[in-house]
Amino acid sequence: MSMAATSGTMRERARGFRFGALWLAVPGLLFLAVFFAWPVAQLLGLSLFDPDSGKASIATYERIAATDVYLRVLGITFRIAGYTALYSLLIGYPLAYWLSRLPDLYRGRMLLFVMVPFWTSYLVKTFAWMIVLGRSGIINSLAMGSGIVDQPLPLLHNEFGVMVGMVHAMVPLAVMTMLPVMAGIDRRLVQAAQTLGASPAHAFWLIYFKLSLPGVAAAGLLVFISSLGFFIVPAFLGGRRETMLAQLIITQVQELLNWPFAGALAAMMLAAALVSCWVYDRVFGLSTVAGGSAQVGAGRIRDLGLAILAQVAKLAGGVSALMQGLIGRRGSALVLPVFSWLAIAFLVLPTLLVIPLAFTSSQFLEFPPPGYGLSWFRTYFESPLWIQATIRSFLVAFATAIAATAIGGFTALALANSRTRWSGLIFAFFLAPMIVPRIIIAVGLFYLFARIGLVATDLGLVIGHTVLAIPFTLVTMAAVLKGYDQRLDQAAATLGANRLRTLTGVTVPLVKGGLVAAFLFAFITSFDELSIAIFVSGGVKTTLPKQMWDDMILQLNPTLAAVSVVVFIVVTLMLLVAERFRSSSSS
Amino acid sequence: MTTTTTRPTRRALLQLAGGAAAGALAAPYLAGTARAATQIIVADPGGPFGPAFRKAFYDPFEKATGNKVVNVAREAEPTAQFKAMVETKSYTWDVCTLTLSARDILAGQGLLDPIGFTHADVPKLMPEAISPLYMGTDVYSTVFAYRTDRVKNAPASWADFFNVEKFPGRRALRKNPIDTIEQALLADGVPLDKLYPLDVDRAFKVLDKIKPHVAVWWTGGAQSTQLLQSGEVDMLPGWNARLQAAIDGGTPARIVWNQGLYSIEGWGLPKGGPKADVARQFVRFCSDPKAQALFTEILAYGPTNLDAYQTIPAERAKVLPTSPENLKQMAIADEAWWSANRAKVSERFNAWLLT
Amino acid sequence: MTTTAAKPDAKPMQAKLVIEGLCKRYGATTALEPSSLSVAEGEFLTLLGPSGSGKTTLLQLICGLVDASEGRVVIDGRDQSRMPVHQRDIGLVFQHYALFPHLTVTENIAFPLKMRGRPASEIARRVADTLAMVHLGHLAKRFPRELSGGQQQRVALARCFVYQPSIILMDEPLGALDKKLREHMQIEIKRLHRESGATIVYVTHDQEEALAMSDRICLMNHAKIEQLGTPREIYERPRTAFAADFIGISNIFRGRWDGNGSLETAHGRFALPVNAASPGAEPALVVRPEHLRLGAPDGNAVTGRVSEIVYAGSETRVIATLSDGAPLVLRLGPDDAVPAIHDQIVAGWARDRAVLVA
Repeated sequence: MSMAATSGTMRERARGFRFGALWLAVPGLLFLAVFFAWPVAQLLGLSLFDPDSGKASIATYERIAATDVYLRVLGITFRIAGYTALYSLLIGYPLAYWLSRLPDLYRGRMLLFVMVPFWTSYLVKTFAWMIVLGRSGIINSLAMGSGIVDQPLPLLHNEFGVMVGMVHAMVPLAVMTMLPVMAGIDRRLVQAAQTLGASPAHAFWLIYFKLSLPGVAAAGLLVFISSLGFFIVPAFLGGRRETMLAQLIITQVQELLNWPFAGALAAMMLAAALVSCWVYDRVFGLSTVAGGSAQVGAGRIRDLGLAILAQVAKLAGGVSALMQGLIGRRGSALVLPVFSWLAIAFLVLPTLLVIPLAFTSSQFLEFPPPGYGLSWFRTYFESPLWIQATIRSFLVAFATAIAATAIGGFTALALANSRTRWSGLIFAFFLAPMIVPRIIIAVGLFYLFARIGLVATDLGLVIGHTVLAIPFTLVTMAAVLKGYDQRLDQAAATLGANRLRTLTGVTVPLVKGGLVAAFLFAFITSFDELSIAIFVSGGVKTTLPKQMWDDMILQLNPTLAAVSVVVFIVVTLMLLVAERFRSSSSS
Repeated sequence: MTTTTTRPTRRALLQLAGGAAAGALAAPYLAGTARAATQIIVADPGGPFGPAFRKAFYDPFEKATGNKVVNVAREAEPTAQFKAMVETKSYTWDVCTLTLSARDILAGQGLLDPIGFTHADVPKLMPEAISPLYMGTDVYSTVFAYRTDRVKNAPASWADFFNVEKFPGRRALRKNPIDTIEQALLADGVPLDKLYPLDVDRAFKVLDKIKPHVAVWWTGGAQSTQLLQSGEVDMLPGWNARLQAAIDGGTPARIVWNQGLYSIEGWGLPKGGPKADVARQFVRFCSDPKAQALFTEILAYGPTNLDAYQTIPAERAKVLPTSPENLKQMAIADEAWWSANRAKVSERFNAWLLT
Repeated sequence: MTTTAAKPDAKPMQAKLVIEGLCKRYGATTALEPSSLSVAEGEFLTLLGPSGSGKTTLLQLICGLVDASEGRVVIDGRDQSRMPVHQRDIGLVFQHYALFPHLTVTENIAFPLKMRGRPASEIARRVADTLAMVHLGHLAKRFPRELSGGQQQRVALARCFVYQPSIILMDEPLGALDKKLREHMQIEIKRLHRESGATIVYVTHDQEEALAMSDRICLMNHAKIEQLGTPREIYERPRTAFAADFIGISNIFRGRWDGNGSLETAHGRFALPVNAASPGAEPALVVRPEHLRLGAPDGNAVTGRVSEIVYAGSETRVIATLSDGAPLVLRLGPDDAVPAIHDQIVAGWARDRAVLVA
């Protein structure tokens, strides 16, 4: 039959395409091998040699083992990262669920709000939280003024403060990771469950929640791993006990110059991160990070999971019935939107706070400002240092976004077209820059760049930022391409388009939304990046976060706030343009 | 590196290919000039140091020698960059400010070049401020300050600071054993001139007692300003200029100079730097007392050349660590002891914090 | 078509489902004009219409997935308009099956029973019985994505029949299947209907499917019910030009009533059927292709030129072009002489074979 013949040739062609497709990942592989794997390996390798004699030695690891302080800090790091992931999911899940049910246009606008923390420098956010949570901060002033409490609440310089700062920084990432998975869930399944007799609670937990679990797990992993490397938030918002491993690594690298020991600590952190990834891969499968379908677990675990969900559903059903009894059906229907708006308020609050601070007449970041004026904007606009840093940050972020989107896009294309056993490994390798703490990459790169003359160059910054941005672009593009109908490419090929024409004429226009998202992800990654900038800029090629950091260390003044406001306006305009671009492409 | 960077000489190009020249080549482009004079890149701590040093050192030096000074902000702890710079011979800076501890770490790893003059050349320089590899420009002091609006019973010593019954109030300490160990020992009655070698065990016993009463453990200088200014705490130790900044901004607070520990910040040259000659000339220039007096107009740090006080107004001298009145109440921190013991004490301190 | 349930022409014995003035508006747009309908116990009723005609909306209103703007849904004599979806005793088979991808075939089918808290032994027995009924016993442990489209459809049917809901709604359940499988599944569904005695409301846009399966057809257009009747009634006595056009192939001649017994059209004056009611404002005569004969037996005839001849085994379809360019379709039996392409032909019909529509 002709059908069989056609499918035979199709299969052959597909195999040829597969072989060819994997080559698209080669540039990215080489790039990461040279600018990521090699420098990091070198830094970690330092831990295995005695710096004086140059002989192999495990003295650094013996030192770690000799005291429990490093293991305890590792434990604290894991605990904080774990709680951050947990709370980010608890806040992010309902928010993402609410967003996924909004009409497209409205959702796009709401997403801009959710993304606000992303494009507010985390240095500024951290200080905003100090102003909100401090002993004489906004919350305590309100609480004491209204007589709710007679002692200031301990909100800052403890684990609570750290949680607020970290969860605030991570909720957008959690939402952005879960949203595509939720958007991909067929809503009719929930309807189907209800027509089959499931109460709304049962339908949600047994069907929708179960199907959204891969997204939840992926978001949890990304948040957890990203949280491992935090050092600014615990330093400024934490107390005595909230010391994270990245802080110790930075001290070893920057202050004590003990790079072998820093390498050993980094190796410990990396090993711990890899173990978490491995566990994740065992349980959920690493491909779920890009929205792949989860593995179906083995019989008993799966049955147990379903049984637990059934119990949760029963409980939730009871709770919602109780709630409906208390506040009525209408009131219950408002719970989700009200929660979501509160979550958005939480995300936007620090940025909103920065605006009045920028117009303060005070020398300090104090709230409320004693008076208003434009002097800090004048300081900003009249400082060539700030202006140069701003322009450089935009240019570097732009170049990074293009490079990372191209590499991420081609790699996603290669992986989407290939079903070899290597693709899982390649995917994991491309995600690795997200797993390795940035400070390790930064120091490794600095060492490499110094030898090839890339220190204090814009190119060096772009390369470093591209390394960090590639995982985000790959994950975004892989999720988009998963839903992309490959047959359209085949159709274009049969209609006479060559590979390039197919790519530019068919594939790219159809995945434009994903490209814009990947571009923005990479742009923001670069725009808010500090670690690489500290090491690679050499103080000469200063980026905006680096300039802010210098300011923050030395003379905390409201210029920071003024800069943030300017950046906020520029980036908002850019996002609006991008949003228009994206919506015009979909219509 | 060639001294003129306007012509793309063969050597410069070769070095560019070798990768060593990019930073220095980029610098004149940044500064927007193309004079055929030597240009050195100076890494200062940034922030208020930029304009202060520009006024005191950079502009006068340019005027005097015709060379050009481009200043960039270095990291709070530039040692890592410094090390990699020398090891890879990619000299982004020609001179860099270093603390005494950074000096000792770098000197210990052989990463510094000699400055080319001695104490005999500048006799009025504080003797601690000069060594073959280093010249100090400014003195900063670790003291404590308290909010006069909240602390009614004025504390006057570290013993008072550590006495939470007699002097109630929220306290902060630095999340670092350096200074903190000394403060504990001073509070316990160890005389200022017999601090070193530090009795670490004794210090931790004192710290054990105050640990529950410490509300904030600060990590950065700007943070200490913020803590004092916002009233997050009522008393805290810190570097005098940081605390002074809050007071200058109108915060009702007072600095206690008694039993302060001072230290020095100054210039060091990366080993093998291509413009070492001009850099040395520059460092020497910075020992000038009139030049040093100028930076105190902006920075509340003390000049190392005590002759500078001849031109500093008396009112300003009061808030500077090296003014005779303040200096006699203080002692210098022993960087050598810390260089030898820091890793171990830090480890113990970190462990102690967690329990 | 044999059914053990309601006879096509019989009066509904007892109304299983009654819809009274049901209506749905989204802002300014109306998804369903106020509509009323009654479905008898055991009846197979098809909602037929083009996309956007409101049939899916009506279906969703019946099962409660969408809240009605006005009107009532009465099942077994009880008003269930305000009853939440999961408490209405209704089964719904979705267009794309809506099988739970994370559950096996068995678990999918067991789902409604579990939700009803049935004992495990009963669940196991009924699932097994139902699996056997749809001939899927050997695939019980598979996941939906491991099944073919036809198999998935049968799982969806099984999941619906297993808990014996009093009404089963089907939303274009065969839309995604190829023609051969479709025809097979049509028979399958009829068999299930017959064996279970369930009341079925079936949505489709395929008129052949509607004609083949239904006891009655509810033809919908522009968000309202156009005509309700048995397949034969709708085919033979269409009430509107739309009904005539949508169901089967029709030759439609629009014209002006001469106030007497004829219609003035662009192709000539045609005598109306003898018992025709008074024509409406835009009257038209509908003539089915099988009622056209070559030649002009009764004076009702048109002239055209043959443009296409389609041989379909049991019959031959001749398509001619009339003077104004409109097509005319004739169906010739195996014994009829077939004209050649480009032949000029005259086709006529007995006046009572035509239907006058409004």
